[in-house]
Amino acid sequence: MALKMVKGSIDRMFDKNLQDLVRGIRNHKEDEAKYISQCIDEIKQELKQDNIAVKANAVCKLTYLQMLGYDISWAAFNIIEVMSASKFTFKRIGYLAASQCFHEGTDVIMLTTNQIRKDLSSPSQYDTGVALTGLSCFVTPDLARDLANDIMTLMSHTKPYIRKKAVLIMYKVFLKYPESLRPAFPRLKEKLEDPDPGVQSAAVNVICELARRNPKNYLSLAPLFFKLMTSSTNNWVLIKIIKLFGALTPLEPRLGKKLIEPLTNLIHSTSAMSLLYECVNTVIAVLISLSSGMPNHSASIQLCVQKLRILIEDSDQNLKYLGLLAMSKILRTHPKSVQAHKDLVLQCLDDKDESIRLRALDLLYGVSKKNLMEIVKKLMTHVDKAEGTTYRDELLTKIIDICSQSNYQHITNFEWYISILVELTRLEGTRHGHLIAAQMLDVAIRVKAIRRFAVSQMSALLDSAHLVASSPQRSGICEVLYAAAWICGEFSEHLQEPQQTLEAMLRPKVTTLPGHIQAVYVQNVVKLYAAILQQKEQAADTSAAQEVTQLLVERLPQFVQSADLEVQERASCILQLVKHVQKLQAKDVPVAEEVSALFAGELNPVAPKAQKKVPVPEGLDLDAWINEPLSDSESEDEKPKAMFQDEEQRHTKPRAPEADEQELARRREARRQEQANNPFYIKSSPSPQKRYQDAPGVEHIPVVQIDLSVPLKVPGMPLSDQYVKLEEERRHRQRLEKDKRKKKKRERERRGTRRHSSLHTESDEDIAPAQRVDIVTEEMPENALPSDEDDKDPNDPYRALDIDLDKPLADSEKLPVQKHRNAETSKSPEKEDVPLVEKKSKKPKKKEKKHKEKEREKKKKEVEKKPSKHKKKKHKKDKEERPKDKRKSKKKVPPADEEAAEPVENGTLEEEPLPPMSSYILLAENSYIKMTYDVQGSLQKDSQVTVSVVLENQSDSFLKSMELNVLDSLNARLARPEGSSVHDGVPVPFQLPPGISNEAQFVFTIQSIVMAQKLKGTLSFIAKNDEGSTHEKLDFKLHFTCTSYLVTTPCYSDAFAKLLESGDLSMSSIKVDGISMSFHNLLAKICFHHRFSVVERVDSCASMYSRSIQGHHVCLLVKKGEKSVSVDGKCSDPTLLSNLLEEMKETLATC
Amino acid sequence: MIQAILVFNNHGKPRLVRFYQRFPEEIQQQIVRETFHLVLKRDDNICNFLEGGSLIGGSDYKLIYRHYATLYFVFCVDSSESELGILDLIQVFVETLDKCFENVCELDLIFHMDKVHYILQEVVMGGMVLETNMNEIVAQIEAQNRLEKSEITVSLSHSRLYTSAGWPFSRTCPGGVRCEEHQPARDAPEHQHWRSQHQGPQPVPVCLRVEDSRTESLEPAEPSQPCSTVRSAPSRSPASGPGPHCPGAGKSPVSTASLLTCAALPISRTRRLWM
Repeated sequence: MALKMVKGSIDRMFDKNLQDLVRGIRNHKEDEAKYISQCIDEIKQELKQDNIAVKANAVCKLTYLQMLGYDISWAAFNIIEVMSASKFTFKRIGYLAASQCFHEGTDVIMLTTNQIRKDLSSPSQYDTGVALTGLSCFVTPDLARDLANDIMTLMSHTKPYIRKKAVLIMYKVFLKYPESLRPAFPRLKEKLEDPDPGVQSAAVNVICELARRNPKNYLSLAPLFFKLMTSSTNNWVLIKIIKLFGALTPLEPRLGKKLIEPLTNLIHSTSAMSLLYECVNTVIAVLISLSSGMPNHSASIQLCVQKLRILIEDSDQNLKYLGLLAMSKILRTHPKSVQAHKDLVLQCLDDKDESIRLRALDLLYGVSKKNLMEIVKKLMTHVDKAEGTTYRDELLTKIIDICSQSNYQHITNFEWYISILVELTRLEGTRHGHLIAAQMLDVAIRVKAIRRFAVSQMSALLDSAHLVASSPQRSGICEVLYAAAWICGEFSEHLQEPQQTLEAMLRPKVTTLPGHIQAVYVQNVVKLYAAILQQKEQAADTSAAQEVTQLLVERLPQFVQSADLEVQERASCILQLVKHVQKLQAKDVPVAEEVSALFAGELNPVAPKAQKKVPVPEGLDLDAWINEPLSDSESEDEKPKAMFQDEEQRHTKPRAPEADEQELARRREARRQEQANNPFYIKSSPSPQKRYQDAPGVEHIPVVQIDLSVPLKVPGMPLSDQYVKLEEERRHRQRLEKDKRKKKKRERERRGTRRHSSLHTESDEDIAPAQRVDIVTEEMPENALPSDEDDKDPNDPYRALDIDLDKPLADSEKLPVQKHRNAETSKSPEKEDVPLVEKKSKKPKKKEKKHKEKEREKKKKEVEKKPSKHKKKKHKKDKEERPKDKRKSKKKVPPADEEAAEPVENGTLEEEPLPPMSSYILLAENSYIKMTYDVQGSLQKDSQVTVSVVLENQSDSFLKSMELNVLDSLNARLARPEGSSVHDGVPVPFQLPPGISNEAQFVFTIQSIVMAQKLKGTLSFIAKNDEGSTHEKLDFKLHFTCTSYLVTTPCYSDAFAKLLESGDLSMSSIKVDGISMSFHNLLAKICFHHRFSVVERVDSCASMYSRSIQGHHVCLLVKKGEKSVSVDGKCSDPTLLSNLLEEMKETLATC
Repeated sequence: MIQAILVFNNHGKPRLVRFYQRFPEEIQQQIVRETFHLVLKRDDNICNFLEGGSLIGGSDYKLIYRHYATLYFVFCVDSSESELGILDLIQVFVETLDKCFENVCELDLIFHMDKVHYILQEVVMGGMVLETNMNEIVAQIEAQNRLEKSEITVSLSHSRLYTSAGWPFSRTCPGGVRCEEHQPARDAPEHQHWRSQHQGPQPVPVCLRVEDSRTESLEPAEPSQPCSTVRSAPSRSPASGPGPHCPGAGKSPVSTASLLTCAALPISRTRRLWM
């Protein structure tokens, strides 16, 4: 034995430690993987030994291997062993390994709960610290729930070192277990004013993190933070707080106004750049939230811009970057202030640092008509120079963005824009081909005047398609061919030499293009073909027409062979069509008309959101059934939605089936008529957009005649630069002209630029667009809703933390405390709560009671202040704040009632709203006080029932020293505090101010439950008012029905069937006539008043189940006839059953 | 929140990998690799922020990094963190390492990854900044080391395991880091010595940061300034004055270059940045 030990320690002498491992790996550069796998084998051996030091060493090495990318989760159990070592040295190794490799999916993690709890309460602060640090990395919802209370205690630890760690980890706990937020929040708030700066900073950290996700819940903390901001000198804390204010101001503009001054002071005074920067940022946020109103804004804006300029001009790239970042925020609301620094921005575009160039690009949005061409020209030179594709792509998108922003507002010359787009197609390796293509399509469709030019450019592009699509790396750019082909086809009437383009599109090389582009090619070849046919037939050139047909017949088969289904299908279809045309042509039949009829009709752009914006007409309920659903309960599972397929709108294939003009006009007219006659139809005020809509047809779109002062065709390939030059010349000429005819100017302006007449800035007004173009607005449905709501992501993990923190805490909101659970209670959380509550009320200890009383007092006051706020989770005691008759419909009824209601609500019984029901029955009443009560049993205590008595003070007096006494019978006894005799009363644990009600609970022990019984009792109290105090008494009779011994218990139909089959149950039945209530309500009533649950319901027949506190099963079969209801009951105790049925008969008789 | 803290050398070899969000090991390695390629491309004299993009968590995240000698320290943070604040935090972390390891160099990180983790745990916890006061951090770490030492003296039988782990690490441990360092053949750059007492026959004058030369030319009169201006809060700075951890401050600045004095930002930058 001793030898073995010695041998063991010698072995250990040769164990590798972490340093040896590292050295070994470095010495085995060639066969590192092999060496490591050897080491892992050794580690596995070491982990098998009993010596904890050896294990810890092994785990330490594993942590290193984890960093190198090796999965070490197989050692999770050993890690836990090391975590539970008694020595700090080992424990630390274990926790480090755990924090590196444990996660929610680690199954052994649940084994750690008790170990962590032990470490958290360890006397050594470093054990606790290490456990907290580790836990912060692998906390799971289960761990969070089980340890929340322990961590909360640590928040008040004497050592600040532990306090700050505990405070920080609370954030992780909140994330995993959102229920803990409300109970823990008051303490967290306290920590904001902790004497230790570290703890304070941690608390600020946590609250800022919370508030960032759900700022509105933390508005109430603003004054506290304001105080901290003005008093704290810790820059870290200040930064956090100032950032938090940045998140809060959009919600509360008044806060912003208050903030401006201290922030401005900080900006002036601080020497820390980080703080200065955050201040500027928050001031910007404030200014954005205020946006207008305050006149002295400009001073703050000026200050911000000025400080930012200093940052941007700094030689430090970090400051430059941040300065630009902040500047872009100002840009959104105050573009003018930024435009003043355009020089700076353009200068940054030349910076060697890519991040800075990108930021500077963001600032370019503030362009105007005046400088657009200049800026784009500058960007184009950058595009040529740029090396990295990312930056080039970024430039490309930026160019397109600034040109297309606000509906091409800044573009004065669309030919220039098209040529820019064409130039961009020559970029190598860009990913944004589709973006260029989309722009080409958009411009060509919406700017009618440009179509001729666009088509000529596109046909040139198609002609040189081999350049564009030559190499595979350029695949991104070949997307533009999609647009080019489509534009040439759709607007073929503008083509100069259609035949040449047709041939270009039928080149064999085309088959190397991606499928979707080929498909467009094929389709548009036919469009072109149709146009050519028309042209030739008009010229009576039949042989030329036949030649074209022949060309198609020859070339189309190459597409028929395509592997792409779409291409193949279209091609074979069209080939047959063309062959047919060929036959007709041979017979000299004119076909052009018919072929072009295939593509007749004008194309209108439709806004992408148009479909969504069609308002639902009044009175149309889209969720309502068109036909009554099958009453079969199984049909519930089917989703009626499946009947209709959601149809996605397709924008990429803009050709929509179009009714002919007359039909459209007719329909439109009919609809208008209908709306005019409908008194419920709310007419929207006509927007400019809508006015256009009212125009009956497409040809009425006011397309302004082109007044071209620029030659349409620029010789050779278009170079955007030429346009820039031309534009300059044109502007110059214009200026001269304008001087001559100043008077006419205004008139012309109005006529020419309808689309941006309202958006003119002073400087822009000088520049008239080169072409009077009309940009066709995207079509929107009539009466489109302006709203543009974006739904929040329902999967956001932070949404769970959207919790109102201002609401006072309810008693039930406590962190779970570790306790011994009996097997029965641990079934579901709901059930767990019930015995906890009852235990308290059953054995009220004096201390507890006093405490409770205080709490109640407090709560009552709060209730008086803001009764409306109490909506969520409440304890039983708070019930009386709600109108009692609504108990049923709300969620906070005692769990038993809730369960009673649930089977009904979850069943098929949703057609009718349930009538309000209350199980509280009047007990006694006099001029001072009104008592109502309810009896509840619980399955856990087989001979106890809890009587909840609501006492309502109806007088002006203050009621106190209330005491309830009951004359015990042999069968039923009131549970009294220990040590008191059977004649003593049980004190009511509260006092009642005038007009207030509260609930007290009393526990009774019952021997036999098969019979109903009544108990006589007295409530004695002292009523105190201005005139003095009097002793008063109120007698009552407490009625324990058999029903009150039942506990709603859900039962599955199979278990139910087994129960009935067992044959142990005796049977009895009743029948009640003259019932008018619907079956649905009837069942609800039985469920509620008699505590049954529905097992199954078929038509007008239902089986129900309940259980007594002593375990009797009660089964019912309820059948509804014409005007009667019959109830068949089966129960393990015949007396209980007959009594129950009698009670039920009474209830039913009132229906 | 800080999502991840990565330390790797000029060749992309990870020296410390700490994620505060679960990623499988392969993804972690991939992130380290991609991050490395991102920062490697960047000159030392351009800004220290990088839009992380798709790397971790999306557009809300930024990479904030610093390059010290042979090591990159990269923090991946979301928008709730102040960019300049994190830059300072990296500096605090490195200075703390410097204090704990006495003139830290890459070798310290290589052989004592666990210790580096323990130090980091006192600075950042669960992705949130725990402590920024360097004296406080160092005090806690020293206290924990004392605790560890006391445990070791109790059980001497395990001494083999822990002698080399004694703290502050003994530079003269037999068979430990030292011997290997003195092997003449040193190919990898991380073998370079930065401590004056370790100078081999051919001391390698290493500028731990490229700007270093710039620093000197900018502010020749104040060579040891960077260390002392870390904090504006007067109560915190004195202990971290230039004296204790710039042993060679008076001598030739290059040959005695401790990681920090060399690697700190040029004075013209630091002065402004520090909080």
